[in-house]
Amino acid sequence: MLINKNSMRVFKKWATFRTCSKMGDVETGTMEILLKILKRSENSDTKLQALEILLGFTASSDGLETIYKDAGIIFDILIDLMFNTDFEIAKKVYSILINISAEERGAQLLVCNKLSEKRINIQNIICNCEENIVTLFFEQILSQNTRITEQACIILSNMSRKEEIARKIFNCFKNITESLNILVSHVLRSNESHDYLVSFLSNLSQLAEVRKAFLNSDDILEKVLMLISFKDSAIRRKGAVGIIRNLCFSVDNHEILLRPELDILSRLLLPLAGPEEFDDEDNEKLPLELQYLPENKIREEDPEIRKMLIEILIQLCTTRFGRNTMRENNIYIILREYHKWEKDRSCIDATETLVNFLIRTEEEIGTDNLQNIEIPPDLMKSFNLP
Amino acid sequence: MLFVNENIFIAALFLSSAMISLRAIIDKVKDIQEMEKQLLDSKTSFEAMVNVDCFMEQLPRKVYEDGWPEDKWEKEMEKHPFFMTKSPEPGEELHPLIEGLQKLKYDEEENSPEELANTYKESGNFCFKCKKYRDAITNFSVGLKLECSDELRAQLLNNRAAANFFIENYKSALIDSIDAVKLNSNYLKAKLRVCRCYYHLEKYEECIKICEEIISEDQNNSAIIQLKKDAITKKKVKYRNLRKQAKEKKNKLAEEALLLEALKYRKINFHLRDNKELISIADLNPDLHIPEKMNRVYLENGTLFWPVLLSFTELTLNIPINDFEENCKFEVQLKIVFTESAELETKKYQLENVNIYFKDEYMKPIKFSVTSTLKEVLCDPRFILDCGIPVFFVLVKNSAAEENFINCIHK
Repeated sequence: MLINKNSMRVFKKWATFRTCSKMGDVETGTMEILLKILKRSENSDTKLQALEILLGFTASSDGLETIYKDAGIIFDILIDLMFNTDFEIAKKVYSILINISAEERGAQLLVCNKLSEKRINIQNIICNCEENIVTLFFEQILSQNTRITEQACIILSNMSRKEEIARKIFNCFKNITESLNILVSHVLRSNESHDYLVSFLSNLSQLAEVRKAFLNSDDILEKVLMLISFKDSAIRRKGAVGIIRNLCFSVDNHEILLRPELDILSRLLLPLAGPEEFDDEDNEKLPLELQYLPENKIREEDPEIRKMLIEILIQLCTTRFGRNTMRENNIYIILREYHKWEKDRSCIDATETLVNFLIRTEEEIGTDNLQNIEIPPDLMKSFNLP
Repeated sequence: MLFVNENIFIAALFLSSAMISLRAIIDKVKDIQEMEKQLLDSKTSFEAMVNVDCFMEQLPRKVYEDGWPEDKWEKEMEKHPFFMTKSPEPGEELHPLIEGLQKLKYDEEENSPEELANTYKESGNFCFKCKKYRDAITNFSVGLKLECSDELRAQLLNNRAAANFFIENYKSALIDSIDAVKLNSNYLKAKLRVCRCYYHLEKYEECIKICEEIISEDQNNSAIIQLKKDAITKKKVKYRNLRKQAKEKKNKLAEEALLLEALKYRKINFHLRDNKELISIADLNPDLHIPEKMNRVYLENGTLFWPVLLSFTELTLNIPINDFEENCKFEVQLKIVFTESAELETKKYQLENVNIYFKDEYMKPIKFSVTSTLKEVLCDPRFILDCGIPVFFVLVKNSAAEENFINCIHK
């Protein structure tokens, strides 16, 4: 995920202090001075310069260690500065937090940090956790203040990568379904500044409760599926596909996902479908949205997303029901043309695996649920499975 | 029981109409009220009765003449508002009672604009229940012209929208429904109607958007959830059909382009009207005043198949040949025509005894051999193609008809 590395600058005024890591005592001393400046100085320029140096700290692991020592105090100061009227200062604070959240330890400290003052002014509709910094971020995101929403989204996305931290964030929600609905609707209505919010949701879906909430609400699922085709942002598309992929890991969910009302296959295959023409007979068997595609149809540009889509389809092949559904919808022809077009090696391999399942008849495959196959012990060893 | 003036007594109790206008009734009622006052003033009820009796005695005696005549009473009864079996047609003369009632109900002096508007609303609703939708609309429209509260206005708009909806005027219904919602943003009925109008007008995106708005306020409205699902499906079908049409159109144009290309390549001369330079597909469409049904020339695997007309002038008969392959010799087609066509006397027409001609741009007949292929003749520089159908003339050799044919044209 995103790590914002700024180049380090040495200011003449602070020339006596080295900002590169090596000498711990000097750094601690530097830190004290920096914190004093940030707390007390009235001068915006000075504050900005101090923040710049702090940002430099976050670029190195030793620097980060120093920060972690006084995490509580530093966070307090930073949070205070988040509300500073000078936009440059607020932006710098967020950059620092982004870098901290990119590291696991930093994210851990952030999420465990208890806000010393009550900063939540408005009734937060998503979180009821007044002490957690995460609530502040949600506030920023849901208010119309668009200047720092992107940074807030990035921080949340960074933090939620590890499951335990994601769980702590999850525990802050009042009602998971409602919160998801609000967040997803918000994403659909807004511009690129909310892209990383989808990544955050994708990370959140590693938790079983979140997946359950997604599956129980048709509305939210539909919106996520719509995001898969969002033209202007690959990040959003990737996040949306990530959510669906996580949902597919549990085989029990496949029947729910493959319901005709949801029309998931259209959404998954549209990015892989191209302008090639099929005859009327072939077209009629495809899902409605994939029929008679025009000659200016472009495929998904990001190969990672394409690969994730194929992986989802492979997952859906686990059950007989899934395989049959896909065969009935004639998606083989789409994959055939896609396979001819694709240049990325790993995507091609994945496609071949998928097509393999679709071409073979059920007798050949022989089992309803591929997860139930018994792998002989000698093969287990070669796969390095536990 | 009060003894009252005998005219009112008849009208009130028997309800048979005297030809009394409502005003007269009101006047008479005022009289009664006066009399009641007088009666109450008297000391005993008996005295009252006696007083009334005296009063009655003193009134001039009149024979009641205002009743219905014996021979016409059914007609009169039919006209009376209480007894009529069908509502009066517009333009019909109205019974004074009806006029009076109407005046009471609709008079602008008697009623405030709000009341009046409400009256029109109720009339409209009544018409609606009787399935007289256009009358309902008229009523609502009149009501809307009056000054009334927003709430009433919204109701009038909504009801007019409903009436329009039932006669499938979806556009008008939509406009009225939207206006109704503007006046009253919580008007669920009007919102639902907005949705349904969009659905019937095939504006599925707008329909889905409003559906979502309604659902966000009320998750359990199953009708709307179903409508949204249907709208989503219809939308997919609509766009699929658009794409399919676009593809078919594109294919058709490509086909036509190939056809024109093939014709150009063969350098066939066309008779073009209006000094046109290039031929278009329209030039190839068979002429409408030919009675036989003929297809347009088409290209298949690089070969052209033509609609050809064989003209047997002797018999004033035209025999069409569809799908005449360009590389096919005339003799082959002629043989088929001669053997299969019932209209020809097979004895007369044989391959050996006929000549076949085409006409050049000066209408001069030009003979050609039956062993030629269609392509060879069409590509002949003298040949002119008109209206997309090549015409060839078949005549018996050395017959009188043939001579006529050659000479006639020459002149």
